[in-house]
Order: sequence, then structure tokens, then C-alpha cells
Amino acid sequence: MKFKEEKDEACSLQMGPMLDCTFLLLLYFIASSQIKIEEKYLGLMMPGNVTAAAKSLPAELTLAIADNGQVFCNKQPVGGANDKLLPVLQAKLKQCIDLFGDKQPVVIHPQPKVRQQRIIDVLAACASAGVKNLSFFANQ
Amino acid sequence: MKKKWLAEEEETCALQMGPMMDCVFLLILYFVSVSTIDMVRISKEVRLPGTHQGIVEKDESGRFIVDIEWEESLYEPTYKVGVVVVGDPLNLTPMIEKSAKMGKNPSFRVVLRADRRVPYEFTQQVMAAVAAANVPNMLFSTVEKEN
Repeated sequence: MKFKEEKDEACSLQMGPMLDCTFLLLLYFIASSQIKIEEKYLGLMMPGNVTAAAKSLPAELTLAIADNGQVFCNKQPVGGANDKLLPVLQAKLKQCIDLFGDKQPVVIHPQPKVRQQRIIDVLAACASAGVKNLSFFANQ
Repeated sequence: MKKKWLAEEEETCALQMGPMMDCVFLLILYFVSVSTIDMVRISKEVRLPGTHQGIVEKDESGRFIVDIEWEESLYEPTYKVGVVVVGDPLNLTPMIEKSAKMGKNPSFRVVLRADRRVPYEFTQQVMAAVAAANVPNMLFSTVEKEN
């Protein structure tokens, strides 16, 4: 009779320690993980081996960005240093796109010290106006 | 009658461990799968620029991600591909070429995850390396809300 009782005890599954381990693992992963921030993308076509088309295009618009963040379109000021949305630039670009279509070439010419945030502001204004033919000026 | 009532009470008090364990293991599996993917591929040190524009990409295949971290006090960037630190941005060209050849994805593109404080003189070097690798498609990473 005594022997039979011992056999029953050995067969029972101990859930307590297993649950402890499982909850510890769960806590570890919850604590170590971070909520993923959804990223968005602004596209750009880079020059490669493709030769330029012989087709005549309208004169390019040069968007210069000064070190202080001021934006100029063909040497005319279109955005102040603290102007994030650049509505004047957007309106000017939209006007050009309406006149010449989305083949209108736009060249962004940032000064070497211009921060990435300011370049993204200008790129966003271009995307908002529907600019498709966009390139960057390469400083030497 | 009394005996039967007692038996019913014991039944309702019993804890159902099966479904609870199922849920716990599913949660663990979820966190394991999510955390490993992100840790390998992108840098958490990069503070992306914020903008209201931009597209969300569902298809994440065929992407070569370059991170540019920024140390303001040293005025120095750190170029990273995954966990590999690249000293000279010119060294990115053969890496991009190799990745494009191996992947054979027609929509192969380079994603530039540059910190919002990085000056153009440093991002320009990466753009030059991408152009030298004959990859025409390039994307700038942004976020909707600045973190």
C-alpha cells in the first residue's frame, strides 16, 4: 500500500517551476523589446550608367539650401530657416509641374553643413508638389 | 445530496492550466521572433528626421540598409551596415554591388537611415558610393513623429 502511493506522486507533473520559468522568459522579452516606430521613405533616382536622353527638357530648377537652413529657388528666397513646411516653395514647384509636367528637372544643392532634417524638409516639399525628376548637386 | 454539491464545488475551483500555458508560449514566441529581426538589421542610435510626407513600404525584400549614426560632440559620423562598422564610405560600393548581384532582385534599392543631425557632406559620400555601384534606386528613411 505504501509503495503504491509513492508511485502516484512520481507521475504527477510539477507545474509551479515550469510556470515560473515561463513567466520569467516572458518578462525578459517584454522588458527588452521596444515598440517599433513605423518608418516612411522618400525615394530618389541616382545617376548610373544610363545615358541622358537626348530629348529636350525644360530648364532645371535649382533649390539651394544655405548653411542656416534658408532655401532658395533659382537664387530667389522661398523659405526661411525655421519654415518647416515650405509653402512658398511648394506653390512654386506646383506651378512649374503644372506648366512643364512631372519631367521638370529639380536639382537640390545643399551646402556641406546642412543637416539631414533640412534636406528631408525640402524633399518632402518636392514630393508634395509631385516632382518626379529630382537629383542632388555633388559638392567637390 | 450534500455529497454531490461538494463535488461540483471542487470542479469549479480547478484552475485550467492548458489554455493559460498556450497563451504564455504564444506571447514568448511573438517576442522572440520580433526582437531578433530588428536587432540585427537596424541601428537604434539613429534619430530619423521627421516629416509628414513619405511612403510606407510593405515589401522589405531587396533592400540594402546603410545607417549613419552621428556624434555631435566629435562632429563625426559612424557608417554601419547591419552590425558592421564601415570606416570609409567608399568601401560601401563593393558591398552594395555584391549584395545586388547575390539578391538578383529587380527592385533592389539602398535605404539610407541617416540621423537628422548628419550634415550633407557625409550623406553625400554615401550617395556617391551608391551611384558608383550603379544602383539607381535610393530611399531616405523618415518617421512621422520625431522621437
